[in-house]
Amino acid sequence: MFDVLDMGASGLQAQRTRMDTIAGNIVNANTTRNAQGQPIPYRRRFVLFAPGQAGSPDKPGVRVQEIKLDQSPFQKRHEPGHPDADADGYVKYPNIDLAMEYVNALEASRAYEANVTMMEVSKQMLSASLRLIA
Amino acid sequence: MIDGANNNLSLGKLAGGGVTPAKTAGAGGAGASSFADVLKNQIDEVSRLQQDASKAVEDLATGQTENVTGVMTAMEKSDIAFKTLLAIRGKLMDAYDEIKNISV
Repeated sequence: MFDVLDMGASGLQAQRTRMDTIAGNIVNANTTRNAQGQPIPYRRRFVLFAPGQAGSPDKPGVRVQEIKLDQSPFQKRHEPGHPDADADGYVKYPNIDLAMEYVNALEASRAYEANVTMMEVSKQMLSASLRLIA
Repeated sequence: MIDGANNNLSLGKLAGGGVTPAKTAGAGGAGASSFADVLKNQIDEVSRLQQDASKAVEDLATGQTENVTGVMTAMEKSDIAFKTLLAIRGKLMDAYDEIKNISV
């Protein structure tokens, strides 16, 4: 009886993780250094979904299998005065396109709303069947 | 939760084994689980769901978990389970009243 609620909860959790990843990408869109201060820019991250719930992969649902790094090449901008510029005066910037991240964020929030609607509808179905008994 | 109850309470078994809970409780030792056992298991399940929900709310309030969806799902489950239990109790009371009013 509660399978559909568990499925919806797993979907909500997965979309929330995706939203956190997108937020990390947007926040670090101009980070030219890594955490240790080396001139290695922030690499874009994206989530990989897989079927099955997080704790028990046999039950139906969705889970985040992995948060992968996007291997596409970094952007290069010509800024000779920048402290992270290489020998030719190019600075490497993260491979993050803000417009794409905005659209992905919209998608994630719509998916979250769809999951919430699905859970509410199933809750109403269960309550309706209770009216049958009572 | 209710699926487990349906598996044990096939109509044929009820019709064959008597209708009142008291009678099947008396004959509960023989063979498959009786209605009283099933009812007790389901009440234990409802109690467990309620304890899970209250613990989840406590964890969220003290900051030990940030999983709001898990807390809300646990609360919804315990709410639905308890309402189902109340509805079943209402039906049982109605059945008992009918039997009580059978005049000899």
